[in-house]
Amino acid sequence: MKKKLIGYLLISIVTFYGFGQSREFLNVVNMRQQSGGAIYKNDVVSGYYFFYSIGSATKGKKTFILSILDENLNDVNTKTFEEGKKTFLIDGNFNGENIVLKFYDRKARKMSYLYFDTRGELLKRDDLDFVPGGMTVVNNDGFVDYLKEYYDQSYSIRFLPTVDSTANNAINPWYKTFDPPAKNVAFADYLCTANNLIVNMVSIKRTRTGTKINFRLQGIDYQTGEEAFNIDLQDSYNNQPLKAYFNEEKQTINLIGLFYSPDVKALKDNGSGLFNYEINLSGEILDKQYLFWTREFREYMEIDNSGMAVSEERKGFLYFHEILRHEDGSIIAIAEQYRKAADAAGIALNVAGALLGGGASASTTKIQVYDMAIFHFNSDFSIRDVRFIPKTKSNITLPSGYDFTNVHLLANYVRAIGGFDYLYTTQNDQEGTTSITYLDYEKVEGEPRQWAFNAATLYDGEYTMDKLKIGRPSDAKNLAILPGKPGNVVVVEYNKEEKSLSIYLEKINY
Amino acid sequence: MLRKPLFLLTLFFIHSGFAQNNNDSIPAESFIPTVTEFYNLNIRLKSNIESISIPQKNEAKKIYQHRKSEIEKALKKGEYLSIEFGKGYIEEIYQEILQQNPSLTQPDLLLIDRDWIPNAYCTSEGIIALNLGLLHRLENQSQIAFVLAHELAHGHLDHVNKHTEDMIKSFSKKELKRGGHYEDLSKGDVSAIKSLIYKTFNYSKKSEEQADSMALELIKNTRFDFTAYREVMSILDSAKYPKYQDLLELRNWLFYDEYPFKEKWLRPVERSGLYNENAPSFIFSKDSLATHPDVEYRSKLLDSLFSNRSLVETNNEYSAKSQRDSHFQFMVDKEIIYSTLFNKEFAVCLYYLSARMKKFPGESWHEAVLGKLFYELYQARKSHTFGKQVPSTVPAGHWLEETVTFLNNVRMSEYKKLTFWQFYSRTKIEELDEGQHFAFWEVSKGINDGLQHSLKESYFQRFPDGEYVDQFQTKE
Repeated sequence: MKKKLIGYLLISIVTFYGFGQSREFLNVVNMRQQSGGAIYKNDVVSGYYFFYSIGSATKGKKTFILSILDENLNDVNTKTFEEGKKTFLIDGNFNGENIVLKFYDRKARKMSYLYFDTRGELLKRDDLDFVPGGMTVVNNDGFVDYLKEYYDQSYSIRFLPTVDSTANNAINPWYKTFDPPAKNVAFADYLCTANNLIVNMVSIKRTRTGTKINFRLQGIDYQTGEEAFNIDLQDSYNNQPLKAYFNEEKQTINLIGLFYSPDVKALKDNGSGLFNYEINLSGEILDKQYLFWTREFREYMEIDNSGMAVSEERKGFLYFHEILRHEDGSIIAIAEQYRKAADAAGIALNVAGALLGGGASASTTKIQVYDMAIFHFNSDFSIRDVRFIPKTKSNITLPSGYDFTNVHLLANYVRAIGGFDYLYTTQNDQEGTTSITYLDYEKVEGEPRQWAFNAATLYDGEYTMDKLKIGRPSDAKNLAILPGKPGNVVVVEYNKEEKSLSIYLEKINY
Repeated sequence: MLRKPLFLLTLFFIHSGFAQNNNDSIPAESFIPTVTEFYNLNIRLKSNIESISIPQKNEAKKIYQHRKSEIEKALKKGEYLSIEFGKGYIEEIYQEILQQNPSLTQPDLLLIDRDWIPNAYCTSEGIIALNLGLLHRLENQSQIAFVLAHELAHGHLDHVNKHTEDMIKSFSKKELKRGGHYEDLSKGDVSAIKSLIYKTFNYSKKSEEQADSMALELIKNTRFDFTAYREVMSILDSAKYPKYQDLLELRNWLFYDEYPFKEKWLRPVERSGLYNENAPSFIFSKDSLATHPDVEYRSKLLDSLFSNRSLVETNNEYSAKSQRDSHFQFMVDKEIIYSTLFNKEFAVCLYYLSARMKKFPGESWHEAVLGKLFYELYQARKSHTFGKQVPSTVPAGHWLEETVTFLNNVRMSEYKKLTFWQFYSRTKIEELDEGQHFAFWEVSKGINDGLQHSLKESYFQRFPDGEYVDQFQTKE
């Protein structure tokens, strides 16, 4: 009869879906997780990939194991490869037909696209020279990869069509490079797919680190690679697009972002408000709406005449993380408040340094990140609601020399180092919910400070709060929270005393 | 010889342990380990360590220590029932086998594991356990006797420790080098890893064959029907399906006038499309990880032990289902519902409860247990442990599909309402046990505050020294 206590070996192996962990088993085999992540289909978690190196390198090559799980953490498939020892899996996407995983061999500076079917069987492989970029899904027809070399003025887009079981493409792949006007640098970011068009936000600057940006909207027919439109978004205001979505009923693209007065040279404040453009598939702007902080938003927020919050606790800037549509067609914009503040520690260090004869060596400014701000608009972009979710203020120390940097660039720095508490937004179309998740280092009476995962879920017009305590690094049990399928998160629970790891899906309550 | 006070203390604990467990009531109380049990575990550990025959003593010692500690935890958590459950029905089978086979190595403890999965096991810590899930399927004493004899055979042949030590030895660097595997493994040759792991499972299958054939010899010496192995194999073959296979039809009975059933609770969850029916278990093929030979093979092997087919007789007294067998089964069928709730196997609990409610409608204890189940689900959602206790999906066509879909679709606030309405409309307060009464009180908050107040008063009247007395203040 089967033994109750699982073999010691299997425990080592099957509980190995840890993160950043390495393990030795069978006394000789070294196994290390190189990378892992969620596989997304149209921004929805559809599965997971884990990439391990196993054993020692021989002649510059190593054996790797790729494990693909579905959204319920069930095994789909496991594949073994032999690759250069500095190979990493850097991106994964699923379009309903193919999973495409992008690998990077750091030593050879090569990248490989591997195409798998829904059973995790390898269909095709393309090996190319490496260019940094980010991949996204285009309907069921394929994937686009936005590529940009650091020293290049231009940007490139590669279209990877879906591959069938015979490794054939239904649509031809293509690769196009787009040049900016002379002596400018251009970047492109994916915004949305509108029928057969991929819609991109193109940012054009004089220099790579310049703050004056000219934004354009580009539409490319992904079936041919031909540009359908390329329009300038600057008009009576300076517009900074944030997000776009395709309105299938109206066959139009809605573009939402921040707008600034035309005399603002650098984007150094909250701007004048939010804009919404309605654009047809030929690139014509059909309608423009502007919501001013000092006008439309004043009914919902206490704003002074300069567009800043009146109360001390609300003074500051807004960093917009996400704008998306709720299941009822309304629009939700998620922002987080931040502001510059004097860093007493930095000032003290510099004073001490000066007294000792040295120069300034620490930034005297810090960034304070505090409350979440959720803006809810009706489908016609009229304001429905604005609410603030209080959370613990966190301080981000800046490196030396950042004191006089533009506040929005500082926000980008904060985002790059993971200084904001916002995590992600998950939507469950079946249930009609939108859950906004964030971390908070909170203090509860009678307990020491600890991290907590929080979710604010909009359902049936109401917000409900849910919380999962993560604990502190010194606790006997630690949790890590990862994105899960709609309405869920993945909890990774590590018990230090028992040296056990469990991974499971947990519902977000509302 | 123990000193008198300690002797008396030990006797007290032994006596109180037996006294508490000697009952026929459902739910049965957990087996309460005494000083003796923990003492025996220590003795066994010492003996296991002393008899390690391989050079890798430290590694084997760690495994034995870990296993002992896991068993102690399971005992303390109440994961076992005493074999006194069922008024000694199991005990007498066990005694018959031992008495007719006096040279058989005896375990220290024979227990019933609350686990619903049809299984039984033997540990090197001197414990043999039969799962409630297996007793739920077996139909008479002869069938149970075969299973018990099989586990006793494992213990007698010391399979567990032998297997453990062989495994440790074969995976030692020295042995790997001697076998020519070391270089391949260190390079990360996945085929070499798989082949070594599969080998350990093959070894396990050989042990099962030995235990099967020895079990047959043990049973032949007893009054039980030794051909019962055939029925046991058939039962094991169908073990992946539930005993009562019927559609739950939850919407037909899980409704209340004030809180009707919601169709969205049975709405299938959309899948991403990633699926592989032949998915491996990480790098391993699932079939190769089976620890037992397949049932057909086992049956044929056992059949082959009879050179003369006329020896295959049935003993009517112990192969037919007696009234006593039926009564024991009845008790197990009830107890398994409580035990799955105790173990927080909520999906299985709901399935068994629903099946039983359909078969025996109108039993009031069912309704109270259902209320408690909903309450536990509500708590699991609140504390974010739901995902550990309820699978998020099962394969299409699985017997738990409807149950799991339902459990995952109900929201936390809806569990609270289900709990309330279940207690309110289907139970009588005076028939609720302490835990159920408290649960009813807690969920009444916000739904019927007046009732909540009177529930608190009635709790203190019914259970003045109850275990939930302090919690009223905390939860208010």
